[in-house]
Amino acid sequence: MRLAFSIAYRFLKSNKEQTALILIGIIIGVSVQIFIGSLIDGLQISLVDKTIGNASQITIVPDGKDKYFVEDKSMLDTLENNNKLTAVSKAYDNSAFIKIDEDTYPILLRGVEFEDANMIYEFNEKLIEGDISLSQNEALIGSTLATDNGLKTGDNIEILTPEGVNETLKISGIFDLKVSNLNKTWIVMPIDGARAIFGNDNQLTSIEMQVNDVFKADTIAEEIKSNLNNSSVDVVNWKEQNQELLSGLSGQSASSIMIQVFVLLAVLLGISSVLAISVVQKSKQLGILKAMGIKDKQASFIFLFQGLILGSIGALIGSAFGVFLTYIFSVFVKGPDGMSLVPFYLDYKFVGMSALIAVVASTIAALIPARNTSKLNPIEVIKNG
Amino acid sequence: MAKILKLKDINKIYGDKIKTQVLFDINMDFEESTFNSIIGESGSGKSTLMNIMGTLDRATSGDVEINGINISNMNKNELAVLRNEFIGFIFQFHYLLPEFTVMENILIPYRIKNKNITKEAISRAEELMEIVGISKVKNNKATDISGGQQQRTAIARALINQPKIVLGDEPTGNLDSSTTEIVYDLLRDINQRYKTTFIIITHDKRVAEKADRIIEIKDGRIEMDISRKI
Repeated sequence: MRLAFSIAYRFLKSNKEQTALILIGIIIGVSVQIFIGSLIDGLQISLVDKTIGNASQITIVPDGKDKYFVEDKSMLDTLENNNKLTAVSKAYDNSAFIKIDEDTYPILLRGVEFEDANMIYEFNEKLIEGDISLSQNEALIGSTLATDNGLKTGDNIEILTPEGVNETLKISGIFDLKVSNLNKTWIVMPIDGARAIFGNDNQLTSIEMQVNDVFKADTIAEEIKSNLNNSSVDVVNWKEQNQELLSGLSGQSASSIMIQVFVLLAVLLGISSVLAISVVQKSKQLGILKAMGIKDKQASFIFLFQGLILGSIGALIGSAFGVFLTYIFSVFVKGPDGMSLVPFYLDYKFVGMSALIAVVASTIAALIPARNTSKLNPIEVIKNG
Repeated sequence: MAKILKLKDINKIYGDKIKTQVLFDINMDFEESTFNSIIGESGSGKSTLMNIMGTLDRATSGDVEINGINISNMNKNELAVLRNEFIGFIFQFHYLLPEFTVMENILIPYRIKNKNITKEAISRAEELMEIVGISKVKNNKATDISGGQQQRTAIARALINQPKIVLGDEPTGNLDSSTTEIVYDLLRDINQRYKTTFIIITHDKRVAEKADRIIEIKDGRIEMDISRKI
């Protein structure tokens, strides 16, 4: 075995151009694979983050046609102790109207506990003016609502509920959630204040949550549902509400895998054919080795080792180059806002896997040439001089 | 003296549809530590005979016995081991591995047999290089030495595993006449020193005449078999 390895190594070393050619092939293959894979992964992660990063990923809502459910301390405690959840925020929402001059506009009055809600919506970071106030008759409004109506921090606004209650709130701050619909309709205030307006002391309209692994939101939602065992609530997750996004993502993943498979296939065919030529080139040496008593298996290993050596070196340099390409892309390809178009994202498991596949595949590609050595008859080689 | 190699009723037929018989009922045996030459015109079947003796080819019928062992029922791997341990080959072309140095080439049959290169193996390789006169170029690549030196390297390589038999197929066919002379003297010297049996195919009558025994093959049959009494 050691002899086979050293012969393999010498064959590769003596034929530098051929070796370089195969190596470049593997390096390009592996780096393209890692580049494309990481790019698509990064894209998807940023897309998912933009879509649901600041939204509820799992939501407990009242079951059926009910508008509210009763706040249950033990339920909230269980949720807060669930380590798969990164944020738990209870909310009391109700639709109402805002009265400006003589006109009224429909709004959604959201009562939250800001400490919890910030974990999801990051109001604290998205304020464009003012502060988050904890006072019961103060509220945050969206930037679109503010600019459309010339409202600013410190102004008073009049809220009209469908039940006919009239309440004046003071604007403590203005947020911009980057979603125009929310910026136009949301008025966010402390939960107790919102409850007081509607006269519902102990009710909730939803419990909003975020999870550590967004793609497991559906299974986590299922778990929560069965653990709660509460017929008055239902648990929904972002996946069932964003089917189109999901099918888009899986289509993208499938095409990414297709590209990777074909790149790999091209590389394999390259290795296999160059090594097959090398068997013919080295047939005299193989012939004499056989005459001197090398066994067919040992002779085959010369080529398997060549595949292994080429695959290992190629995979190593290829993964480094692929990571480098991905990094360069994320640094230099930027959107109009100066942010990188695709964030640099590296899944070490994916890189390691790609490298491993390249090594295994290169060795497998060497199988055909290796088998050809068994067919080589030393007399044929020696007879032909 | 013991018979190191026995051929019994060897026939060799090539081809399936159109059959060409190359060897006809060859019966021959070789004594240990002798120096034998086989002569014959090209196409006479002498190379085929040598390949059969060297287990590189199988006879269509008949038995080959090497060192008392009948090889007819041996498989490819067993034959490989037998060749590695009992037989050394010297061909018209040296077939050295150009990727390796002279020293490394000589050690290859040893490395096929053993995992590690021992000090004894290295000193044996050095002794052989001394005998064939290539010690100065031992670290050169096999391609960086002269034709004569390459053939000497091939001779040293054939001897590294201390084979009982050395088979040579026109070992000097590619060398000029003065080098031919030197190489033959060398082979003779080795034959006497290590008691290795030599069976050498040659064109050269002058060379053949130096052997203990001359066998002439003509049209697949033994035409002449003369032994010189020692």
